[in-house]
Amino acid sequence: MTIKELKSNALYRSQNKLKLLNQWVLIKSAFADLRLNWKFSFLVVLISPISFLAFLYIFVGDNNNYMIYALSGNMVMSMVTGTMLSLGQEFGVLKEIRGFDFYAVLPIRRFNLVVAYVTKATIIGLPSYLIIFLIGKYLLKLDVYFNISLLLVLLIAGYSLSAVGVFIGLRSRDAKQANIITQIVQPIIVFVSPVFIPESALPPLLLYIAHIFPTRYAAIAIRNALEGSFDWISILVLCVFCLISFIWIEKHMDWRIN
Amino acid sequence: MYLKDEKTLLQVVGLYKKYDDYYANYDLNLSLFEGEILGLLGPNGAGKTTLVRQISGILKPSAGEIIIDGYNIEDCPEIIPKTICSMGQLVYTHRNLTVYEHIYYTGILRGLSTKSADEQSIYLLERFNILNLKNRIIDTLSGGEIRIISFIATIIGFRKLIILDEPTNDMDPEHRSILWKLLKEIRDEIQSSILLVTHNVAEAESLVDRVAIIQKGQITHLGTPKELISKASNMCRIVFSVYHDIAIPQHSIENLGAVKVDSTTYQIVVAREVLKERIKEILTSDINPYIRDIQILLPSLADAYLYSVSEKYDNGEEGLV
Repeated sequence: MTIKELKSNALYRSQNKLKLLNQWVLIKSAFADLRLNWKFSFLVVLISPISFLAFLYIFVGDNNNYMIYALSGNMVMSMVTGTMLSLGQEFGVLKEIRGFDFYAVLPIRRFNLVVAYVTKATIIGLPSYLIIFLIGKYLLKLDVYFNISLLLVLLIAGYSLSAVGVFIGLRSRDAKQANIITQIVQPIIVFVSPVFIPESALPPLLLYIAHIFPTRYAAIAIRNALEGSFDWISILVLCVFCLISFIWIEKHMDWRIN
Repeated sequence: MYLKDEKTLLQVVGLYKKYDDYYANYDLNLSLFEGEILGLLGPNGAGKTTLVRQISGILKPSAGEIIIDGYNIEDCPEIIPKTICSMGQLVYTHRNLTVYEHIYYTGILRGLSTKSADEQSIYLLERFNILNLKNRIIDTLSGGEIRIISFIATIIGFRKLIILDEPTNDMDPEHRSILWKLLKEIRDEIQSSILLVTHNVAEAESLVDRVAIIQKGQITHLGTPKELISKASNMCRIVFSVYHDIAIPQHSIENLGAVKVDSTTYQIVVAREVLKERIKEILTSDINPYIRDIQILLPSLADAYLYSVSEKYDNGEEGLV
């Protein structure tokens, strides 16, 4: 077969099929990272929240209310800031190894690439949330319940800070710098919101500032879900954060380097 | 949409790229025609990669215009993925995918149907005789193999403009030869245009239609290989070798103005009109008894390139800073 025949035989997909298949291919490619290091990735998402939970249990004891904060805080830290952290680092690495040179000449939307990496981070985190929940319910004997809204929050919360992760990854000089910046930003976002600390214990200024962080709404929604109620308002606000993130990524995320 | 010359696919007009205190590209102008292979040559740091990364939409120009297929990429960035495929100097491959997956997925992302992406992936792997690597994870391959995979992933889907930045680095001679042959076929059979950055001037000579030489961020020479060679054709080389066990007096070599190529070979670059006199000079010099053989070499594109970059570059801009 000649090149001419190969090209003239080529069939192209319709735009709608193209979008769906592109997203699927990008997600599959992102998950391929687990082929060689899935054990390590799993340990990372598991050990950190469990050890933090154990640490809090030692200090707080079996006070049900505070332990629910510890439980929900762990989940929020993993899914919201963990996803942001992972996205910042992944994009920092992509920038360093010239991955954007590859993607920039392909007819894909930037948003598709972000969705692929966030989906990977979210799904990798799911076993750890399950284990945290099981430890809380059966080992620490906490009065917690599984509510469908818990799953909903876990699935959408990671996207709410994706724009921050993307911004850090793209603006950093290299992967190392992206790693450092995300490590600095993570505790700020966690500790200015009522993630591990009840709102009543937060200083008044932080109480107001917390309203602009999705971590606040994720934490409240998860606590309500663990207590058995469906917190539509917090979930709706999280969706708005996701929407803002996606719009920013699509409109303002530029792969080009100045 | 700009008024487009029917034959021009790419136009770079007055392009500047400034970093902190220097220009990587300075008032650079270049055109690439449809169905043409343009070789972009230049010394390290001349601004070749900066230029191709701007054309691929990775780097933002400081000033100037890049027009692809009649569209300014600043106003119409979507023309880039529709028209261009590009392989950078630092190649990117998704290292945890298999060879086949990386190529096939790239074809899918370029809009091919699953059947066509599969057909092209297999065809191109077969052309490079590496179908046996199909199921290997890219992370386990050698540098040369990764570059071949990256090249295949670059051309799959066969865009109108193919940009290749030193594609044969790390490749063995057999695969380099396959790559050059494939590029010729792409140009001749489907009339894609190819912008080829390479240091492999000797191998590119038989492939390229035109050559652009870039120095200090500007195109300093542009023409067909024949035109560039004819500019340098006044110069030719006298290459002579001596017996390996003889020590030639250094002053004799210096008197002839010869340059040592290796332990037994020397070279003199001379203008054609004085060739006869210089040969006579060598044969009557005190090194004549030691000469084993002597050759006169007419210039190649590599010579023309070396001649071009050795010319004093002075455009009145002090180092373009």
